[in-house]
Amino acid sequence: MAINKNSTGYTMTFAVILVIICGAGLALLATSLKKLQQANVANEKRQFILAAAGYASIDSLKKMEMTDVEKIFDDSFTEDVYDKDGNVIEGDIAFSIDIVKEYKATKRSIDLRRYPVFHYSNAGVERHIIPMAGNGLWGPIWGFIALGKDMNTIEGVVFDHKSETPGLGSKIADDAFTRMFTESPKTIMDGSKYVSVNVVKGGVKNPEHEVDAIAGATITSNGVGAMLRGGFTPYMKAFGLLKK
Amino acid sequence: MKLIKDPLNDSNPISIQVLGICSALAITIMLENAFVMSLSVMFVLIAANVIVSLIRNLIPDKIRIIVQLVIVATLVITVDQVLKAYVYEVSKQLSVFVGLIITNCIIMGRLEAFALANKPMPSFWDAVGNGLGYAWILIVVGFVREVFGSGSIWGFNIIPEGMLIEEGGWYEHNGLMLLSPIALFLVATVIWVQRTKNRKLIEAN
Repeated sequence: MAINKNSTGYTMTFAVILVIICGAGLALLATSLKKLQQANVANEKRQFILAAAGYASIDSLKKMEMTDVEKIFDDSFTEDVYDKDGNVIEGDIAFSIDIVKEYKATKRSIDLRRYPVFHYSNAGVERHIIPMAGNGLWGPIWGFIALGKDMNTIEGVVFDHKSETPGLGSKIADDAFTRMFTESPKTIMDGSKYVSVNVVKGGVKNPEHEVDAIAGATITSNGVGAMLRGGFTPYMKAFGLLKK
Repeated sequence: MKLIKDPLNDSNPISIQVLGICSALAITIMLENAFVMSLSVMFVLIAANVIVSLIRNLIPDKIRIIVQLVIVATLVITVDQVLKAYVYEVSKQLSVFVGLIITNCIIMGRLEAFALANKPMPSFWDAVGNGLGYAWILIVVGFVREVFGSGSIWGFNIIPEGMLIEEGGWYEHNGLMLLSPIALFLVATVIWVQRTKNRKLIEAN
């Protein structure tokens, strides 16, 4: 029987069958690879947090086996989740909170936002790693900021971004930028006043609370500044440095 | 044999037909990225060419472009998912460009011009040829940009640290090599060399 390839019926049937085959194939693939992909994302997050805590550089962490990174991570961290007033939320797992999604989902209702923190203690070193998220020029930016034992001095930072311009905004993730946060001591509190750390253009005037912006990446730099300005408040309340 | 040899030189998809340029500019900063991107494009091109060729007598003419697109898109998402699962770092750097393989003119061009009218075997070789033609340009550009832009080959440093200006030496990496426009110059250089050696490629005007 000859089929009329140009009939509407044939065209429709062909399209439907093709889409079903492709769709089923992709669904199968996506479900079977999901575990591996999630493991990659979790591994990267552990690397970032460990690097912020000063355990090792991000490059050397990237060379390590995934299981080793997980073991070190589990051994050296305890976690907490705070609400916006710094009270502990019981029963929430800090690591499972995707900070970018959390900030986005609670954009209009900040009261509901959860604030995770990772307490690091290894070989006598104590750090408190605070994740935060903000907006760059093209998409979200996020970072992990490690505070020292006094819960006030910045001891390490790691920034990352989704789609900032390579060579300009993407430099927030580079060592040359993050180094400025630890080269000279930067503190969040000035006495009992909350000042955080700002990213400024045209020269740093207040070295304890300011770092230089990246030339050619004003909006991304401002994004980092805004993220840092807002991100610490609940933690300062939780740590007792700011009144609840 | 002609099917493989032609796209490598006389009808190279990038330097002669000037297709698929955007990805050649964007992901050739490092050799490794260029290599993974080439492999991805080759996989999609070969698989799409063979599949389309196999069902070429079944595809209704009216919707053939859409059918091609669906097949290419399916393959591209497959590549994207596999990269995310097995080479996460590279997939982060390639970012949107893997997804953009869908719009790579080389692929649609070969499907329309070749696979729809030829048997699976010739289509397979045609795809291999064009894929390699795309790959070698990417790899040459990636190699030059990595060597002069970051002083390394496949991530291994080849410039002794002491030579660098930061360490008190005299050598500095060429930052221009890391920006996209340089890839245009490099591709243009390839085109120039190719046409100097092969006079019949020069259009009369």
